Amino acid sequence: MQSYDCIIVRLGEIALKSEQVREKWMKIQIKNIEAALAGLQYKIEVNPNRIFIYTPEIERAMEALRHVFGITSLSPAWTCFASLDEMKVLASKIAREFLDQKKSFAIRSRKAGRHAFGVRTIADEVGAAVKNATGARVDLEDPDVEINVECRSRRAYIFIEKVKGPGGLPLGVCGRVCVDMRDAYSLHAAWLAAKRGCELVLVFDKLNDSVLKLLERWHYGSQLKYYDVKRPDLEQICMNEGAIAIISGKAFSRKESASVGNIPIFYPVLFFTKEEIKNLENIINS
Amino acid sequence: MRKRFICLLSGGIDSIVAAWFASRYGDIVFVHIDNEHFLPRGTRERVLELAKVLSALLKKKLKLYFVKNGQNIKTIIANAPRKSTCVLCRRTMYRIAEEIARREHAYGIVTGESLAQVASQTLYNLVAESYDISVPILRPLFGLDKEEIVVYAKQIGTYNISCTREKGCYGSRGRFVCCFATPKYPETHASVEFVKSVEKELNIDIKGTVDSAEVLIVGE
Repeated sequence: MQSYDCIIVRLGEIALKSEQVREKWMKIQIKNIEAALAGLQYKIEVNPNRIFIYTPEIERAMEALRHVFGITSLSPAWTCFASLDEMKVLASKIAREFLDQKKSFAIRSRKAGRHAFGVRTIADEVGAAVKNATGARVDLEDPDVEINVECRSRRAYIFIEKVKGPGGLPLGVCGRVCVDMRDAYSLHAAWLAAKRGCELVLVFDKLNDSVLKLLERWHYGSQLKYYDVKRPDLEQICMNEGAIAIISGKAFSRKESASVGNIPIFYPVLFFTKEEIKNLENIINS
Repeated sequence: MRKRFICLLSGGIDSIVAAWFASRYGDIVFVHIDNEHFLPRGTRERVLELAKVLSALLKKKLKLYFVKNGQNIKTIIANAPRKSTCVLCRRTMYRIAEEIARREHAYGIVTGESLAQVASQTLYNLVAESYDISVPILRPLFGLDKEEIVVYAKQIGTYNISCTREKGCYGSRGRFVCCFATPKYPETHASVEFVKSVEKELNIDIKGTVDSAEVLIVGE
């Protein structure tokens, strides 16, 4: 099979922020991505709401990036020089592995930068080449395979697959929180806080190794800290760690309090149903 | 006995979804803080429509407070640093909700905040704004992305109502304006000390504000 040489990383809410915030958050996002890719050989190229990772170790990179908050989706991609001829050759080569006479396809083309051809021309010419090479039929409404061709100023990217990322915000942009790990759904609450950009400090009264390991996988960009103390003083730990809020994983219990001392408590899973908790758990375990 | 929640309702996408989450575990009372001429036209109608949808869904009559808050916003703009308008506005909303919670014997305040979705909802701001509020503030959407909230809004049938736009609600760059009091660069790092000290100076009459609220029963 023609091997991938790049991963397209798409970002979510960061694109909606003001310029200054975006710049600051982007730095953190990139730092987190680089932490996830540590030990791999790669090159990174940053665009306003997209990041391109060039690496020979696509599978390992995909597996790591799937756990980086702020990423909404990932596509392993093949790249070539941004010319019609190269795009046609590459698309045909790829298509032979995905298509045959019994299947249908569509070319979805996009373009950024200046070229001698337009998006329609890309779709028409690449589509004709793929049809020629495979005998598959064109179906723009409901194709078996969608071949995406993105032509940027110097390189063109072809991809078929789109893998969902965890979404959320880059870990660390919201500041630090302490998670009370003694509650029923502490793991879930911790994960949701991290997803919305909080750096976690876990407070156990009895260390749970598997929970710690699970959350470590989602905490790229900074060391996941934890405490293991019999009767933890949450307020004191918050002050020591510079944490400004406490995260509780309580399910609805009819006795929630507003704060521990002067530190407010947040309850991310309080109103979730059993089913929503289960769905969340599947994502955390994935 | 079922617990009662004070659900702040803005007329946007999120707060009604948060109220729906809360309705799974208790009875809800809506509160709309009406910033009067700082809000785009049609906000009141939208809030009423949204409350009706939830009332129909729950097959229950629901109480809805309209609290006039325009004068308080004027006080805030006139007497506090302009960039902290949103922080102090949200603070005022919490205090109004706290007062209503007391009168309604409610157990908690429910809001549609999702962490860091907008400038006024950064963790620092939420922490400073919630300082010393005696009732727990519960945020069902705290860990959700906008995209996920929209899925819920569509499911319960409130999305289209929340997105209704009237003429004259658009700012300079054609973006929808949900509040005209928002400063260009809102504070994102408010501190408890700041809120404490400014609040003392502003001396906003929360009880009086709640006294003059209009109370409606929605549904059926």
